[in-house]
Amino acid sequence: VSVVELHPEDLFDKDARGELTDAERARFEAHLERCDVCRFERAVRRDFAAELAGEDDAACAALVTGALAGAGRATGGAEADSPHPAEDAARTRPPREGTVAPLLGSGTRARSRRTGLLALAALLAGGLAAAAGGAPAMRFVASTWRALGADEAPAPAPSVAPRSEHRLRSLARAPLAPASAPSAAAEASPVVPETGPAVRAPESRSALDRSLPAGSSRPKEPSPAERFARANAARRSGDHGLALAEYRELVRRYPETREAAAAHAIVGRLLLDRGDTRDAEAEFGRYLESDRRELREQALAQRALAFEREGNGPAEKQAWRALLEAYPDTAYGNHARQRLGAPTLVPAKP
Amino acid sequence: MPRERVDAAAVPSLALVRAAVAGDAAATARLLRGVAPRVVRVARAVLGAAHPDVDDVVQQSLIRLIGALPGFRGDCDITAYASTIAVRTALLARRRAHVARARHDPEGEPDQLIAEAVAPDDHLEAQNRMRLLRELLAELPEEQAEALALRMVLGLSLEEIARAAGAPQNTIRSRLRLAKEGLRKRIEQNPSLAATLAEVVS
Repeated sequence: VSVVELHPEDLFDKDARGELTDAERARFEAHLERCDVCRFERAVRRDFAAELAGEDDAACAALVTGALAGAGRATGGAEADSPHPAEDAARTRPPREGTVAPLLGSGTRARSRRTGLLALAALLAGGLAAAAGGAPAMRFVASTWRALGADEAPAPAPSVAPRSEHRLRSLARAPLAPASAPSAAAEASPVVPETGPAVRAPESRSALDRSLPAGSSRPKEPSPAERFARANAARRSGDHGLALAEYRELVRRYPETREAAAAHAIVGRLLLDRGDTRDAEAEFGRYLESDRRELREQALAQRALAFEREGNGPAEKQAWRALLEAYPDTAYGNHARQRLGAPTLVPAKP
Repeated sequence: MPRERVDAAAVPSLALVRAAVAGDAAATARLLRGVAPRVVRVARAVLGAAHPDVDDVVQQSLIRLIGALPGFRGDCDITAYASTIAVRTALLARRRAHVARARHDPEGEPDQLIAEAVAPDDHLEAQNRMRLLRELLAELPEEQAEALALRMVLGLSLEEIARAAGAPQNTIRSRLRLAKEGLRKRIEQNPSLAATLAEVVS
């Protein structure tokens, strides 16, 4: 065991408590100078401390509700007499799949389903209110939305919030375009009463906002990160139509953000999965035109895959070569080299 | 180095815990609402914010907390207790996801990459460090992973980890030393990370 491997755990603890003497501090700093692992520990502790000090999440209330619903079945109070809480916590087994929320299952998908059922009620009530022009019914819509996630108003954004089917589908069909050039399809969409605050676009808020009592707090415009998180939640829940609409709205409103750049790559992937290879290739191209680099390898590979599925041999070949040139060790390397060596891509010389 | 501490004003009281144990449903709900934000942040810290199991881990952690409440002795605050449960639950989920991902094709769900794609540039180094630790946690033996997570994610002392694990401090030292050996190998495989660490001294 070398000196470096004897990490000074006690000095870390004293440092955390602010109890280091001068001599101990000198010894601690000297160790840090020569030990990558302890420098990493010092840095990553700060990283996680910052992470844990983040803002509260509005989705907490829904998770608490789900936990309360599942707790009776999951625990049954069997540990009531145990004197060893730490060991008990270690032994406590996770609930079986489906016990978290007995009626609707667990996790994001379950919340989506719960949200969907209540949203359906809200949508129906919203339609009645729009037809009758009655404020009381619209207030019911607002209160229903508040009931979706928390006891406290304003309502937190559900992870997957439904919106007008008509507007959603028109957005899903529209190409991704920045706010400076709004898509014709989006412009042509009739404004219909939105079903909740979480996904309402500013231009269509008026009907619901007017129905709220004076002084009611209006949900603020979601940030790019919030819109991105919402789109990701929709994608993970399997509602790709909603996810596409959310990504498009994100790109339209915040075209220069890193979230919008990532949205191009993700939309490309969604379109590729459903066989829309031309649009997918265009989306990957838009990501590659951005100055972002984090998804570049994936975008290059999947653009090549789009060309491959499209049967566009020359473009596919060029795309795989571009990938291998930029990322020689890419995880897609074997497939790329196989495709480049295929007779259909590299015709044999006569 | 100051340790991150839970805001004392936000910590549910022992009286609330006792009321919840006594079967007061409203107290249980208030208790869970009090600790849930911290549990969410811990789950995200261990799994990564974009991990698809974050919500499930939070719910499972809260359910486990309710089950463990009768044995809670009040020798630490309930939020710290819930945090430890959340770390354990998240480590289990991370390990399961790691095994599942090993069977997955390389064109699979790019959630982790997406998380990196939207990390602010000035936080990329921090994101890289946290990602490296998360990956290591999924691969280490269970007891080493738990000790390392409680140490580096929650910032617990040797004494606190030993109490939570129900093991002697020297055992925890040994687990941490072995875990850090794995960490050292990871850092050596990542020259760019090692270069950024050169600046981390004070």
